[in-house]
Amino acid sequence: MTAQQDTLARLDQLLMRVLDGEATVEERRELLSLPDSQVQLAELRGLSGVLLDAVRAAAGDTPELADPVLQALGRDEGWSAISAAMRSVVAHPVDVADGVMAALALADPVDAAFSELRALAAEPVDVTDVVMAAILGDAPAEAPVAAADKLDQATTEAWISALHDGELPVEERLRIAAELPSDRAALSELTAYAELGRLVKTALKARTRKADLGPVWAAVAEGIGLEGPEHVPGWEPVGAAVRVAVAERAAQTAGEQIELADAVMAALPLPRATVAELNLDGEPQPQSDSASVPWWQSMWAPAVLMAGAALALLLALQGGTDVMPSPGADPGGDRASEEAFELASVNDAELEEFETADGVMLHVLQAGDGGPMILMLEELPNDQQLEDEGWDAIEWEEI
Amino acid sequence: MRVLFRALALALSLALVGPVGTALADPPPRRPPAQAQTKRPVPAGKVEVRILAVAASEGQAHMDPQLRHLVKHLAYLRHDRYELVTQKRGMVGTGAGELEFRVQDGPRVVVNIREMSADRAKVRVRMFRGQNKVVDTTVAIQNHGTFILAGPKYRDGILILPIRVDY
Repeated sequence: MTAQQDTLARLDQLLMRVLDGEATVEERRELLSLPDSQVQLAELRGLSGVLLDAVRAAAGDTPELADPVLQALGRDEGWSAISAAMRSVVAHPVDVADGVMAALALADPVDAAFSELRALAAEPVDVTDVVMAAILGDAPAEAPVAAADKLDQATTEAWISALHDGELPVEERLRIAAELPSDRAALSELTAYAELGRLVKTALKARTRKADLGPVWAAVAEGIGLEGPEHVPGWEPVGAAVRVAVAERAAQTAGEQIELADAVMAALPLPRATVAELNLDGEPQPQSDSASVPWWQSMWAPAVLMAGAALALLLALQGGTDVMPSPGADPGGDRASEEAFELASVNDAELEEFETADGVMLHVLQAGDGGPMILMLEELPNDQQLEDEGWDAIEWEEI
Repeated sequence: MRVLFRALALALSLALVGPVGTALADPPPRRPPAQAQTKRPVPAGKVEVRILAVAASEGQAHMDPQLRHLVKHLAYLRHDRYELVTQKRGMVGTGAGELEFRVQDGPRVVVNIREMSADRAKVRVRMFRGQNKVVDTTVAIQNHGTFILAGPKYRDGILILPIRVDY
């Protein structure tokens, strides 16, 4: 076992005795002196100073965020760092600071102490650290007259005040500490306040984290020669495009999306498609390219093609056809083959003849990309259906 | 149409921000290799006709995986759901015999080959609903070519019949 481990084992043992209220005065002295005897822990004081400087530099123009941190780190004793190190090194999760606080609980009624500690806790200051700093801080060798007066009054408020202000000599603090464990109620209450202090510390860390990350990276970026903290060589054009795209996407309403789509579609080459009305007097007719096309059909074909283009683009961008198995598909029956139905790259076809029933129109769609010709049947509603839908039969008269 | 326009807008937006999304997202799953095609030899003078029956309807978007090679072209027909109902393949000679293709609760389709040359086959397709002929058409199409007959009402949408000929 190394010296460090010996120290920690001893520290752990002493803590247990203190927490159980069984520690002697000598053991309490030994406990309080252990952090200073551990070289590595003592070195953390220097680290604390470095951290203090870093936070102060990083906080920059947000001192309100840095103040609590600076207050916590500004303790010469570096108890925050020391206690954190002790907590992380000791094998089991013993909160050293809180344990010590509990062990040093006040013996007197703590009503007044509550208000004092509550006032402390209301500020973003670690209660535990404040009290510990008061206990271990640079205390005068002799208690000042004011402090002695407070002690003479022997009120809880005076004790807390003197303790907090660091006005008590070390001997007096230790004497008080030795008397505290006998008051279990005070011990319990102060443990609760120690928990409060822990919560405050957690909140403080969260604020600190928000405050210092950006400035730290900015300083680093500058230090390594970047033009700015957001500068990455070669990223400018990509970054600009992404920024614009994201901004547009974020700002788009449904209407704006349609406008954007319209603009994009307007910029695309016009589809090469032919649409012919091929009706239909019951007699087979050859396909005629010169057939007149009603306006709604001339609108329909480009619209269909645009829709197809939209879907095709969507599918292409997704890296293929992301399709789901058909849950209700018939796996057998008259299915002749499980081979995929593949298309040739070119599917030249011509409509030679056609005949349709009454009320059926045939539209021919031929995309210009070698895709298959589509013969689209349109079953028009008959008179009965029109009547059912509320249309009155119209009788035309000759003019 | 509005839906598709919005899809297009979204697709374009995704394309523009693609580099970021791609960098953050998991790589797309690898698609399985295309299924090996075992083409049956077609006897001289015969034409192999293959017909699919696809039900197209509105609703939640869905594309039957067996229709993956037709996705682009089916999309022209502006429906949300495409489901393969059945398919059939058969051989038929020129000027003799015909293939009948029945779709349950749908029309009956009869196919025969009127003529065949080195580069084209003239395929006659008749569609019946009950005893009534809905359409009778002849298409001249190249070898290995496909054309699509679509539009008859079927279930809550329409029926689409891709027809391929090999000879």
